[in-house]
Amino acid sequence: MNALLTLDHVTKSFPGKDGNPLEILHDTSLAINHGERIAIVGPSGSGKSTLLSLLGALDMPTSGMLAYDDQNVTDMGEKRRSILRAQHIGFVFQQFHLIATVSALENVMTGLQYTTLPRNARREQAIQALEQVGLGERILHKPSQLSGGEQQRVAIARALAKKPDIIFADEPTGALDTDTGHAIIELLMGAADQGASLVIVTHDPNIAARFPRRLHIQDGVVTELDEGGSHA
Amino acid sequence: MRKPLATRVADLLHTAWIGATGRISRTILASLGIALGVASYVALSGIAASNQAALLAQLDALGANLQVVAPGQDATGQPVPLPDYAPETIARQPSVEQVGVFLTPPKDAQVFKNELVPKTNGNALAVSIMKPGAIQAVDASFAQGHGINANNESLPVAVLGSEAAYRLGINQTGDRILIDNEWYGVIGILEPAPQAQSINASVIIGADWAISHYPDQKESIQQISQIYVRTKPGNAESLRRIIAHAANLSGGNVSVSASANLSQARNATNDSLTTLGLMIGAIALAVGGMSIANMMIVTVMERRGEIGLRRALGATPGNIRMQFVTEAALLSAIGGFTGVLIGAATAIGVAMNAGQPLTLDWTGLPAAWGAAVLVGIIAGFYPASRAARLTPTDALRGE
Repeated sequence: MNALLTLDHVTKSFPGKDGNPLEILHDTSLAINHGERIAIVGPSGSGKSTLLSLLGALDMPTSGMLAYDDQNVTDMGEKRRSILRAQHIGFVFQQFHLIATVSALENVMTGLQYTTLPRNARREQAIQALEQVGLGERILHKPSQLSGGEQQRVAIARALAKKPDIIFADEPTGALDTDTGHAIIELLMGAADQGASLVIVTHDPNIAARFPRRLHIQDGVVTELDEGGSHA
Repeated sequence: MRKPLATRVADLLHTAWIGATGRISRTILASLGIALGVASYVALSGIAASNQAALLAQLDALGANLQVVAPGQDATGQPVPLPDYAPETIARQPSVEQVGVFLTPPKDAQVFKNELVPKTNGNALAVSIMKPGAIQAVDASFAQGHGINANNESLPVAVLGSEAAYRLGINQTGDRILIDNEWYGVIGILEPAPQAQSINASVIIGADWAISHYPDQKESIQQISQIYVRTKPGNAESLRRIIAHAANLSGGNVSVSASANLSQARNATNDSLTTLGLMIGAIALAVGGMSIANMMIVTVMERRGEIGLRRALGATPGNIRMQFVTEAALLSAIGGFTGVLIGAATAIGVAMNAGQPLTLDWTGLPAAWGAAVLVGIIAGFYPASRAARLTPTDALRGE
């Protein structure tokens, strides 16, 4: 079976303070299969979020190739990459990134706004997703009326509503207490049980231990901690 | 596969509405600029139009649209009588509204209050002979009584100009005056006529009576001395030519004295006030547009996180650009509508308070609103383009 997502000799550089490019991610090759669950661990500033942005097609590599379902994403224009994200990729962020002025339902529907679904289907799917994360009774609450854990649930519902092929979660428990964090991980695992791949960035070794495949990143070098994947 | 157009439009409006109304204080502030701009435009153009109308009415009252036709002179300096048909041919011209005909007055006619006044103590009053309708043509109005018409044209009746009435000591109709030893009943007294000052010190009598009463001067009395021509506003010089030609089709000399300078001043005033109103409006709208642009730039900076999120969720740069342009247009539409209401109310209030004619351009109000929306779209384009250029990762880091 072909990999869902592959990085082929990918590097990422940013302009440094002296004007010279600073390579944040060194030559990296890896593949993520359908339904795979991966944790990315590593110290702060090691390049975890950069790697996640590249995998999620939010950013483009400086060199090398990113492919999604055998399509070369690096050759795609901005518009096609946006459509790819809209239809196939779900994101969950540490700071939730909810729109403060609208309800939980509107926030989840925003996750479907750039798909081709008609408005009533979006509403139905958003309500289903909110019920799935246990917020069926609070769909009209605004983020300010919800706790941190509930806000992250809304963010997860937003990622789940589109039934993505892969979910990227960037430290989803970073802003939550331990118990709430574990509950959030359970929700994400439950989503992965329905067939989506799950890639999570975390500092928490206990959370990372629950994932069958773990990638360690330090100083821009990615290392496989478990068997089953390719590495740089 | 793309979304149907209706869904795309509905999504766009919905997103813009959420964005524009999410923070009420920001919406009010952003809309306020354009509201004040449009209100200034509507109010100032309304007030300028009312002032313009009042000023033009004043100029018209002074005779900006009045021309006086009189006999010209031939090469030897002899007067060339106006043909009898002149009033009719002049009246037929499309630019002519009213024609008032005055005939040549009897020579050396003397007017006294009664027979007791010494004959040497004349009042320097002139006798004028008019055809029915002439008083209306010079825009004179009656302080008392009425004018000479077909029913009394052949009777010894007189209408007194305001100054004539004063000098004769007549302050009510029904009194009698003495003209060349003949008693005349006073049937009307005029208000001062600013457009035809000579009428003020005149005693006006009917044409038929004058012809029968002065048989020795019949021929001269029957000659037209002056034709007052009230025209529609227009180019004074071309009106003068049309009237001169109509007054003497055979090409004889005719004197047409127009209040030309007044007429030109009227046109210049009209043009400059119209331009002034438009300039004030354009500046006010531009200021409103700047306020929308400023507020949208702040909005884009404030909402970098939302922009990053939407990009991560699949919004294209075009989606982001359209969202912010539509949001700016929506803020302008709200502000523009409020501004039109405030501006119209102000213009109406000022005109009523100043007792000026209300000349608000009602059909222009939707255009003012449309202009506000257009200004909003233009003003929103730069901030929207800035938002669209943000990469998802940069925008997400920005929050």
